[in-house]
Amino acid sequence: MPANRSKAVASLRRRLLSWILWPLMGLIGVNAWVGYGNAVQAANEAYDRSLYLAARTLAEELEWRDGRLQLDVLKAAGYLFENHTGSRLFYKVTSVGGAWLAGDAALPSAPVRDKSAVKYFALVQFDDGVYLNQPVRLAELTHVMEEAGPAEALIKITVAETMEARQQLIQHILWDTLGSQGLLLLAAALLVVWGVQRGIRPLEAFRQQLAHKADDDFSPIQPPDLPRELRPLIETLNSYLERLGRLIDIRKRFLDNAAHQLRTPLTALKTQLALAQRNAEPEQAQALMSAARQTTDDAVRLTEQLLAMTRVEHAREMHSPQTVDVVALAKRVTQEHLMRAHQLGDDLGLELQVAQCEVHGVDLLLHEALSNLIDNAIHHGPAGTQITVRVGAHWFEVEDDGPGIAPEHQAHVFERFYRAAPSGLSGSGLGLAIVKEIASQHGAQVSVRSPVHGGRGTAIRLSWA
Amino acid sequence: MVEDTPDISLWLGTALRQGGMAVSFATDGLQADQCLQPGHGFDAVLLDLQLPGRDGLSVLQALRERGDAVPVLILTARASVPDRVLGLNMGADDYLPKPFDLSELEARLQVLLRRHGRVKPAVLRCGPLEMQVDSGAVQLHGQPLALTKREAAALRVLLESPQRTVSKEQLHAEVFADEATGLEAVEVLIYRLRKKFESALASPAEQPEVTITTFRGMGYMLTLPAGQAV
Repeated sequence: MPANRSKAVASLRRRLLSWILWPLMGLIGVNAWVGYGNAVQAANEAYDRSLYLAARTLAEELEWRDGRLQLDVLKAAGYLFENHTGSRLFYKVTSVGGAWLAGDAALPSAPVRDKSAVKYFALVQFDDGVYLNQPVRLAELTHVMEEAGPAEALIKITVAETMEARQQLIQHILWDTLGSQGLLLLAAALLVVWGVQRGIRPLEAFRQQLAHKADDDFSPIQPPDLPRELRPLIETLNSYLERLGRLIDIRKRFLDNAAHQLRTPLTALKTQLALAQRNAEPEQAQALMSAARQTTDDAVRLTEQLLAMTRVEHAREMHSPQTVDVVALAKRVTQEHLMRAHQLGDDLGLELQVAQCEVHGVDLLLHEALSNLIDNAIHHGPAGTQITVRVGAHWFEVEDDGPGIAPEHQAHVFERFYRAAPSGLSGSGLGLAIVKEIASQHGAQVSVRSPVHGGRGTAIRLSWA
Repeated sequence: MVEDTPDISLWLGTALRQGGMAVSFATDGLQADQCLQPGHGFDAVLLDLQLPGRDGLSVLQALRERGDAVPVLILTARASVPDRVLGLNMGADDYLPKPFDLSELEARLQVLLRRHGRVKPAVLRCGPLEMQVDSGAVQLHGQPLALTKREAAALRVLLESPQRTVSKEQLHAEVFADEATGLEAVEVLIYRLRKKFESALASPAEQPEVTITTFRGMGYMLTLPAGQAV
């Protein structure tokens, strides 16, 4: 049990953590992805702008002289390279028609797109391309040469930049984002774990308290600092403990009583037999023997009833109820007691007021109940008692014309080991307790009527509403 | 007798031997199975269920699977209804829960033997009352009792049902068969039988008087005075 319970606690912790941590992780992941995307776009735009500026600078250094394009390369290079330390730059100048004018002829041109991806000037196009087996970013600027003749007024300047610097920056951004968001996640997880641990701690303390309880300790548990949500649980548990304690107490008393009850006839039996052995006179020995026989019968009856009580208590788990015809049952049970009643001089009879009385229940248990009622009547009445088993619509009863039960005893006759009979008359004090138990399991009412008529007699009835 | 408790087998055996029976013992299931091989010659088997070696029910099952119809009376402390049903389903003829009365065991054993024709009683008896099975002649206290055919038929039904009540309806069915008489006819018949018993009572010996007792709501039964075994 304790292992089981600590597992349950662990799983609660795990569940809380997973409920909080997984969504948190998702949210942080989305946040990191969006932030990263924005940063990369901003970086790209900045680099594109500087690439554009490079093309622009180059354009301004171009001159149309003597019908040829002149470029102050050194000056241009100075401009070009001062801002581009991390990557290599290439350039190419062509006519609008695509004829090479200057620079690296093999540099690809940016394709002309109707809708520019970058919202700069209409005169510049950006694109990704490959040059010398390296990925490059291309910027193609259309430039108007003022000094040139109208035929050559438009030229295209393409500038390419290798991607190292961008990639470095992007990587940098990536690591930065991952690092900060990771730290955030870690901090959140730690906080959550700590919080959940703290939240569960009273529960763990409660578990410990419960685990260290002695087997026979049914006192209520009072764990300190228990959250309000758990208080009803504790209250329920405490009331359960209390009921269990009471039940076990009753059991204990029952067992003590039973032990006493069983020892009594056995002690008497031993004495009787020892005396019979010692007595040489056959007459006295005979008397002792018949007394011993009587004692044995009592012990047998008591044992049967103790066993019946246990059987009845566990009947719910062992038998499934079905439809029982009480008329047939009454015939059967009466028949079983007929010979004994007759031998004791009692008049046992059956009175059927209905042809059939069907109830829902366990045949074995109803048999036991009726049998106990008849047995009780035979046992407690004097010889010659008239006993009637009666069956009506939804009830059966056993009536006798014995001495009856005094009013002060009537409320108690169904208690275990309670004996209304005068001392001297043996009895287990269990017979009616068994009847009561069976009745309550069957949802039937037990009632006692006494005296029945003429100041004598008892009738005990089981009735279904 | 298959019984592993020496206290029980010894004293029960003694009692049965005193009653004129020959008793052999087996103390465990395996021994019982050996004793009950074909040609065993026993008239009846008293079988305990909780046995060392082999369970009583399996001994019984093996016995029945061999096609042996010897009557088996189960004696056991396992007295719950499912156990009882199981035993009877497996081919036991009767079931007596421990602790039982010696007289009850003897009576049940007699019924079993009679029912299986192991002991063919020439005479049906209840105390001082005797009836020759074949001729139907009745004697009370050793004196012949003259009965009509119907009275004898009714008495036979009662004698064949020792210690159990016979309902009025049952008697009517057995004696008047398909005659168009009412149930009062049974009452009249019983009344006449009682009269005949009473008039024969002037017997010199102090023998127990046998009577036909009416049990309210249950029927009739031949009884002896309180304290007398039937």
